[in-house]
Amino acid sequence: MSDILTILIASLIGISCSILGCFLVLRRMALLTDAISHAVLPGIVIAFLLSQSRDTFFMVLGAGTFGFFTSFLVEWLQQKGKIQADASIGIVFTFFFAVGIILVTQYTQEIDLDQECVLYGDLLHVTLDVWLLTDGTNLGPKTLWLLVPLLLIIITFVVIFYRTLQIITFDIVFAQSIGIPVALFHYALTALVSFTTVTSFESVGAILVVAFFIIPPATAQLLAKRLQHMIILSIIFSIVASLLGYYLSVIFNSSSSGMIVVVAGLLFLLVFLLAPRGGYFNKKKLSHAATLSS
Amino acid sequence: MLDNPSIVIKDLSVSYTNESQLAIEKVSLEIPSSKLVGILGPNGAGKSTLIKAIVGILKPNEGLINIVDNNYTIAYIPQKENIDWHFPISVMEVALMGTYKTKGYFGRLNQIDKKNATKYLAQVGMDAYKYRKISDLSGGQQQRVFIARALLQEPDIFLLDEPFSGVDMKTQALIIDILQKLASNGKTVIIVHHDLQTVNKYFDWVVMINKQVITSAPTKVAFIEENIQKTYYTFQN
Repeated sequence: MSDILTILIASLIGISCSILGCFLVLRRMALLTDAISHAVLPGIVIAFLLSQSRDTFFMVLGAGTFGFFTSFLVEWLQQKGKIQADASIGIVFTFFFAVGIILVTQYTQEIDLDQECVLYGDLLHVTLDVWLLTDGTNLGPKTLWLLVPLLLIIITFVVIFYRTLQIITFDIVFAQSIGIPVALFHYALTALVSFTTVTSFESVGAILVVAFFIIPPATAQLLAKRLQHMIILSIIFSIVASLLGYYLSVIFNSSSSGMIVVVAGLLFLLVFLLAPRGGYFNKKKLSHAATLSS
Repeated sequence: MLDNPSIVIKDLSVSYTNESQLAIEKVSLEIPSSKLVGILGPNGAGKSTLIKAIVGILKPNEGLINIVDNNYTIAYIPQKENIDWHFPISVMEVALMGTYKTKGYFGRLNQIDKKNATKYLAQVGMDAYKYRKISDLSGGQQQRVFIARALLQEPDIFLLDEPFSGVDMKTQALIIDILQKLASNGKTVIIVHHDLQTVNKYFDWVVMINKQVITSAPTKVAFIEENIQKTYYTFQN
């Protein structure tokens, strides 16, 4: 049972991240998730200090607010301050992460903030952290109650605004010229990215979240001819990585998050080398044939 | 003064995003319809800024842009260098973006839209490629798809930002032919242009700018050595 739950949680996170990740990768904003996953630390600490509890709900609220603030600030520095995208991401997230560390060491010495837990998460702990009603009814892991609604919101958003998102992502200047409020959609997307990052963070850790946002979409882009195919393929890749990665981690008795990332990376490598159209070997063959014919 | 200009611009100043520096300054212009209008000027002269302001992407610091007929719609064709051509999308899907403004957020595409898209793709000679991924196309073919997308918007005013850069001569001739037909049907066609060799051949009217307007007149009158000197080789404050 706990195996299935663990795979379910990892897959749900994978699906949410990879759907949003397709838009981030295509807009060259992939590292924003890396920034958000670090910059949320002060949010988590402040939420803890204000609520005096480690309740998931307050953590996600505090972290989500900071995540959204991070993406807003990154965008603002680029637009108004004329700072390059990668530099503004670097400035904002290192600063917030450092502020978070100082807050932790100053005010929260009594709670243990395990560094390994932040980086790799703790899937097993998350499956055991269940929601018990006062009469003892077990409603399952608390994380599921956050992940499922979040995924539904993401799917609804992407399905309803599919064409709008497609136009903005492909050609933002054209989108502006036909009156699409591109800033509004940008912030809606980054808000979803923030909340997905912080909700997933506790379960699978910073590295797997960032990997889920970037690797399955990048793999899918090598194969897809249409945006909708890219989204569906990246969902499939993230589920396959969760399944295989989890079982391999059981066999080798190692970190499941780590193994899932390794499998996702190997899938990328496989597709990169063997893709029928854009693959490395086929490209070599094609350019060889072109040299011969000319 | 023109008899029936389609766009009248008065004292228009627009800045870059960092706000201190003006890209164009006190520009006043009247742009005729039914003519191929070329906007000429050196790099950084504010050509793209001017048409972005007309289409409404950039907000003017001061001045007025008056589209004389309130019902007129505008199609804008951005520079194709800013596009990621590895984006997973088909020729047909790009063309169909032209229907978005009339459909809105929730409108669904129907057979009529697809028929229209095919019709306009055929007009630019791209209907045989409609299910191809755009990364398979040459630069000239990509530009033709953009033209089809603009045609599908069925606008009264066409604004094109350097449509000929990186485009083969055959496609240039085809695009000019289509634009000339649009102009002779009463449309307003404005093209930001770079290549001085083709100015006489392509345009009926030229606007020469370098932050300010040097001249706006029929090509024969305006495109003369004196104005070229003023536009390209004189420092403007």
